Amino acid sequence: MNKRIPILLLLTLTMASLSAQDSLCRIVLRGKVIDSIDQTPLQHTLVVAEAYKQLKSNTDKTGIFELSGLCPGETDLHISHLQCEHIHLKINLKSDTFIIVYLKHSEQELEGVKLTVKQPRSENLNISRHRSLDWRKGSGISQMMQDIGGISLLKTGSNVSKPMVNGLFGNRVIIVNNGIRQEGQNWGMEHAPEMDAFLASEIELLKGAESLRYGGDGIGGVILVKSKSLFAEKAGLISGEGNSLAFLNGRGAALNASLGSQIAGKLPVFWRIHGTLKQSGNTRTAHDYLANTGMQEQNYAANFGVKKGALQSELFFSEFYNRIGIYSGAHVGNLSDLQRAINSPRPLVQAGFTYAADRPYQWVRHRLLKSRTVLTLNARNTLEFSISYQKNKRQEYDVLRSARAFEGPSFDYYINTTMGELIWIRNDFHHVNFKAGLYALRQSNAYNGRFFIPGFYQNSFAPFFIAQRNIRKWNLEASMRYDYRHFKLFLWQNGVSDVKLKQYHGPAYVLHASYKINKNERLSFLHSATWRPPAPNELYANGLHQGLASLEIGDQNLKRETAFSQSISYQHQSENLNLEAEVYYQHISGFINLIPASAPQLTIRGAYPVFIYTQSDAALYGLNMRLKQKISNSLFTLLQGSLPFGNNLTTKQALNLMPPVSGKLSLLWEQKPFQAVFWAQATARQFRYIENSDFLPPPPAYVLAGFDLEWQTKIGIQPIRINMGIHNLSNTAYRDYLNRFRYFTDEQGFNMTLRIIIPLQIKTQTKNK
Amino acid sequence: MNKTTLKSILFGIAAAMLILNMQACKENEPEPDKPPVNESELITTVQLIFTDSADNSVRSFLFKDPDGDGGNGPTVFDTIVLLQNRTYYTQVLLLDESKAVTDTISNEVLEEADEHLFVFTPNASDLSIQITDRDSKNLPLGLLSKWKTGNPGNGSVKVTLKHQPGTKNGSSDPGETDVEVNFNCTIE
Repeated sequence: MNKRIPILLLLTLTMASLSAQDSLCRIVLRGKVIDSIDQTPLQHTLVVAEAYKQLKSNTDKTGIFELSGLCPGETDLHISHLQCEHIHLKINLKSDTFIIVYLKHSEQELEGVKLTVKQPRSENLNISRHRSLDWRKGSGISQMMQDIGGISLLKTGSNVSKPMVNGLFGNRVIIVNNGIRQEGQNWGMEHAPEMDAFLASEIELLKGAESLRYGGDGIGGVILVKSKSLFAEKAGLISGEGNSLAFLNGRGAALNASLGSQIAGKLPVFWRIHGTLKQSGNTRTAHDYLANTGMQEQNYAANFGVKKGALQSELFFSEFYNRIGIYSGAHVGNLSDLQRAINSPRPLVQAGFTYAADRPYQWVRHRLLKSRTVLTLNARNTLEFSISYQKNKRQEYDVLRSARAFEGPSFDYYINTTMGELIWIRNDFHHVNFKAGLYALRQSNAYNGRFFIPGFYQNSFAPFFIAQRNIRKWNLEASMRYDYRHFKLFLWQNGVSDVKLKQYHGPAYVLHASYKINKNERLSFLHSATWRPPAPNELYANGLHQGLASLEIGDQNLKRETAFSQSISYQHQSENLNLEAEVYYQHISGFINLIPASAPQLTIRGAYPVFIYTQSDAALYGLNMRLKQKISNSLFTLLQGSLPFGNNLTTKQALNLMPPVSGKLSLLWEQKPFQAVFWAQATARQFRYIENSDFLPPPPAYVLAGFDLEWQTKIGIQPIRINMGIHNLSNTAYRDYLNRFRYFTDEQGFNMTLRIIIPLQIKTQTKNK
Repeated sequence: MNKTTLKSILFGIAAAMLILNMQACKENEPEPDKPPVNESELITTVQLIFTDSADNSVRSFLFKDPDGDGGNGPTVFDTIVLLQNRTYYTQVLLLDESKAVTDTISNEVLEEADEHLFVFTPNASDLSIQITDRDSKNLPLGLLSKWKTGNPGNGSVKVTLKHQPGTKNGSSDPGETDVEVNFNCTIE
């Protein structure tokens, strides 16, 4: 898998000869080690001249090291810092020399050292960052993920979307927020990840051995949402960013600001605060307003940390809150209502524009508190300890039969999670870098209101081990994890509970090998086995599937689901061409899937179709690719595409709800101070589905187009980025197969967004020195 | 170990403690091992009560699904049996029998008459049904109706309750369906 190539240690070497006279072994090599990301000097970097016994130097506060008494000729240097793997450098010394080494001072990764120069870590098939992220921050965290190869969006109306990785979603996809695995009501199709899009600075679909660190159950994948490191803050400088944006469709606006700095002193204290406000009203399709689709979001976060010598510790708190109106025409009482909604060419509930959203709506709050401490014992040994607490509250307010009947939410879920992780990072143990860790989780899930999933306690524990080693042109990685998961479930009926105990344990592993064919090409192989226990909804759901006039019934005898995944990826990276392609094949035994049952069930509102969770064997396979080509110095083309397929091997049918084949062509233009992207995206009709298992066959193919334009300028000395984006330029009326509201309404029509991004750098008085 | 390192270790410990403590301070939250509170209402039962205009005799027929949607199917689902060539005065009773104390939902329908409409759809029965009660806007409601039977035969009658807040206009089209029960019907 083209392992993201974090050029962990990107290093450019700038050499400057200071004096010309070479002689005997009297050469002094001095140098400075700099963090390539934030340009700060890196203290405590060990530089060793390998041929000389005991000749080594530690960088000081300013990142400077000095080795003296070197002989002329080739000298091998060994540079190591914290848990970054060391780099080996060959330097031809003729005289006293000063070098600058740029290290990517990464905190978590166990990626091998790349002695590649040139390209800094950039966007690729699995990573989205910078520009394309900034341009999507207004529309939500899931939208920011969709440029990553293999990720599509599973939507419920226009305001709720969650990521799908090669057709898998929900409990099969782990989302990691700020280093902590996000725990909410992940199982629900209409439950979006509870994260502030503005906190993300990079999103990565993690492939390779490291992914097991976050769980052995990420069958679909692990998506990392990363924020800027707190410890990049500098003393004497308050840095941050202001974002303001307004969009036409929904007449929405968002404001966001972040500020951070370092309070210098004996014990330097780092801090950063962050806040986001967002509101929008009824969205509009190509022809109509959608009733009751306004939403509000308010988020804030605060981060404090201290760093002294080998110790670094931080405390992070964030709160995400939103209230999302659900299109009221999608709330149907029974099949005849649904049929009437389907048959109507225009939305059944007509509306004008308003910000107000009443029932049906969702109310969600997610709080995260985490602390993380990193202790660097020496250049090769690091301990990392983190503990976190997440509190997720979700309420769904359905339309009431009677205004008098009841005030509260129809569904009211509370899930609280405490997680702890202890990792020992050991580098260069007989040329192997490894991480050994322990993970523990305690979770409680409870509800009020209508039953859909039972309350439960979960206790989990897992040791894991990740190892990496470079052998010539090979980069080899392997990881293993053994999860113990224990559930105590409470099924309440008339005040009496039926207590069920469910226990699961088993191993997961990942093997990854990457071969560097030549300077530009790389081939990677991945094989993994992961598993997950059946989720509480798959075991015990029994009731109305919210809004969609169907009954969903769990099966308490479901067993675990095990996936064997393999993929091969090829990467070609040269100055004019960047091609990445990956083919994958995933065999899932005991794949838990919602299958239509033959007989409908009679209720007081008529007969309802019934869907039952069943297990079968499934195969998911396909291709993801990305091709970027340089046309001229200011012009690039970018072609992205994915072809996902899914088969139920037991029934020999297609899997429902797989993303259709899609592709996107972009033209990237850059001429300072302007940047622009023009794009067109085509999505095919999904031909592979189970006939007569759905209320409607998949919608026809569609093509969308749009662009983003950015102008970087200055007001006085203040830099400012002004940006305009257009989505669905032609105001096309279309429906998306992966939108659960495709029965009712078209997708969002034309939209224009205006953004102003203001990077802030405020110099303050330095108190010391 | 110097003072500042100690301080930063203390910071780390304090942070970890804070998180562990957070668990203790729960809001007024439900617990998995305590019964959940469910105040929302169901309609579990539809009862049709027929009074024969000729002799004031009463007969009544039921649809009953005490655990609501999903779970088990209906426990009682009667066939309406009426005598030929009669006129019946009919009342609809809606109940929530999922609670300890049965709730009469039809009282709420009456209070919110302006938002509700019963629709009776006979199929292949010699039967004519006329709604006799009106809401405040003089639109039909349907809790009360008059059923005239003709010749003997078998068929069905669909009883539908539409919730039409703000959209009620006398037609069955707008709104959401709260009840839809298709009773078999025999005229003997």
